Amino acid sequence: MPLSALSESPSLEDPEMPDQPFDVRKAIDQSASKSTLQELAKKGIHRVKVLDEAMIQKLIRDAVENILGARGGNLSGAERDQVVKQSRQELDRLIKEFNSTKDTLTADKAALATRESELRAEFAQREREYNKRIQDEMQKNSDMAQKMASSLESSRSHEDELVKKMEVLFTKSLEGLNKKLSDLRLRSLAGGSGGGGGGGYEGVELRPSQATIEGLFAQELESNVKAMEKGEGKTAGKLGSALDRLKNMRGGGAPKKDDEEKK
Amino acid sequence: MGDGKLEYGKGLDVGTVNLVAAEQNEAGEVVLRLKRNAFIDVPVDAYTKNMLTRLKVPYVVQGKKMYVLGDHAFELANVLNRNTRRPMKDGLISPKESDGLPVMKLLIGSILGEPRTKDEVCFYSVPGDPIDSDLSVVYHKDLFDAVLRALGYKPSHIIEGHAIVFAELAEEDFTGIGISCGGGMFNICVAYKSMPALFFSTSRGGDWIDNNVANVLGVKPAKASMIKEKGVDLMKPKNREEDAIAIYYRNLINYTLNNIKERFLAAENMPSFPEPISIVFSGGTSMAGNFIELVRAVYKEMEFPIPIKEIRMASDPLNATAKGALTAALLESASAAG
Repeated sequence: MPLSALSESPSLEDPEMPDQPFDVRKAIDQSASKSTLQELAKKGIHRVKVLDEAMIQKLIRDAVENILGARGGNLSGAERDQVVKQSRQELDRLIKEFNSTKDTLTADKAALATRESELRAEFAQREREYNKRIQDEMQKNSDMAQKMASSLESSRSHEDELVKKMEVLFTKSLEGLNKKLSDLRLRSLAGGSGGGGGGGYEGVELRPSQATIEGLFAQELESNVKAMEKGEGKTAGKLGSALDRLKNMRGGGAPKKDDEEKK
Repeated sequence: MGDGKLEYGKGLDVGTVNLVAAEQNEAGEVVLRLKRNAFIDVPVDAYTKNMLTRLKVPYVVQGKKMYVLGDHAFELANVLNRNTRRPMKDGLISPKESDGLPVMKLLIGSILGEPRTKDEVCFYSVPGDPIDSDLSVVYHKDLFDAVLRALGYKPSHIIEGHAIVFAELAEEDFTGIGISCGGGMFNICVAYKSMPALFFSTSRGGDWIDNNVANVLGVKPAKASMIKEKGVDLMKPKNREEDAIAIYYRNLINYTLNNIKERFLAAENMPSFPEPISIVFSGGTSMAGNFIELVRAVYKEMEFPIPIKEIRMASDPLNATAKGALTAALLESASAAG
C-alpha cells in the first residue's frame, strides 16, 4: 500500500506565488498526516511502503531530468518554460494520485470503525448472556442447596420419628416382659405350672388354685369397717321397663306391644 | 316391682377408681353406694385407731401396717400431699399391690353389705379383653369370684360395656354401642337385641390422661387429676393446663372411635343393623365438661362404618355400670326362680 504522505499541497500552479521556488519539505509537512505504528497495526495495516523526502526530491528531479533529457540540452526560453510547465503538470498528477490514495484510506478507516462498533456491541451482548447464565446457575445451585437442606431436615425428623417408635416398641416389649415375669410370679404364687417342662407360657391361662385364693382372703384383719353401718346409700329411681323388656326378650315371652310396633 | 316384693340380686361396678354397689329396695328403687377404690398407709398406734373410729374413718390393720380406706384415703392423701395406693391398675387387679386384695375385700363388703338371702346373686363388671395390652382378665375374674364368695354371695360377671347397654339402651331394644369411660380403661360393647356382638377394652382411660398431662406440665398425676376433676370445659379450655387436658381427651376419644371402627371392619359375623344405632357414653372420665360435644366433633371428622343415630351421655354416667350389673343380677334371679 502506498504511503499517504502528501495531500492538498499548494499547487505548483498557484497563481499567488508563480515565481516562488518550490519548497518540497514544506509541501510534504502541510500535506501529510501523522500516524504511529501501533495505530496502523490496530487498523490492520502491518506493512507500509516508506517514501522519504529524499526520494520525493529524487522523483521530482528525475521527472524534470526526463523531460529535459527528452528535449535536449539546447533549449530556448520558450522551450524551457514549456518544460517547467510540463514538470509542474507531472508533479500535480503525482500529488493527485497521493490524494486519491488518502481518500481510499479514510474510507477504510470509517469501515473499520463501524466494524469495531459492531464487534463491541456483539461482545456486550455475549457478556450479558454469559452473566445471565452465571446467575441462572447460581440460582439453580441455591435451589439445590435448599432442597438438600429440606431433604436432610425431613430425613432427620423421619429418623427422630423412627427413634420414638422404636422407643415405644422397646418400652412396650419391656412392659410385656415385666408382665410376663409378674404372671410367672403370680402363677408360682397360685401353685400353677411354670411352663410344663420348658414350653412357652404364652396362651397358658393363669388360674390360681382355690387354696391360694382362699389363703389371700382367709386372713381376718383387724378393722373398724364392720363396726360401721354400710350407710343408707343413694336412691336413684327405678330400673323402669328395662328389666321387663329383658325378661320378655330372654324368657321367650311374647314381646310387648311397643316392641312389636318397632319391629 | 314396687309392690313390696323384694327382688334379690346385687350389682357391683368394679372400677379402677371407684367401686359402686347397686341393689333394689322393697319400693323397687335402686340404691347405690360408692367408695373410692383406694387406700393409704398411716402409722399404727392405739391413739390413731381410736381417733379414726371416732371420726368414722374406716381403717384396716395388716401386719405392721395400717391403712385408711376409700374416700378418706383420697382426702388424707391430698392433705399429706401424697399419692393414694390403688388395688387396681388399668382396669384389672394390680399385681404390684398384693396388700390391696384383702383391703379391697373390705371395701367391697362395706358397700355391698351382707347378702339378704343365702347365695344372693351378685353380678360384677369385668373389662373386655384389652386390645392394646396383653393383660389377662382370667386372674382378675377368679379373684373377684373368690372375694364375693367369701362375702357370702353367688358371683357372676358381666362385661362392663354390656352393663351400659342394659342400663341405657332399653328404649332401643338393647341395640347399640355402650362405652364405659373409666379411670384405667375404656370398655366398649356393641350389642344387638341385648346380645353382645363385639366387646373389647382399651387400656387408656382417665389415668392415661392424667399421666400424660402430668408429663407435659411437669406436675404429679394427682395434681393433673385434681385439675381435671375441678371442672374443665373440653371445648373451651381456658389455660395451658386445660389445653393439655382437652388435647389428651381428644386423642383418647379419637383412639377409641378408631378402634371401634377397625374392629367393625375386621370382625366377622357382625350384625348388620337395619337402622342407625346410638352410642352411649358413661363413666367418671366422661363427666368432663362438654365431653359429648367433643366426641361428636371427633366423630364428624371420621368415616364411621355404620350409621349412627345419636351420640349421647348416659342418664347417670357414674352409676350406669352398677345399674346394668344389677339388671343382669335381677334377670338371673328371676330366671332361676322360674
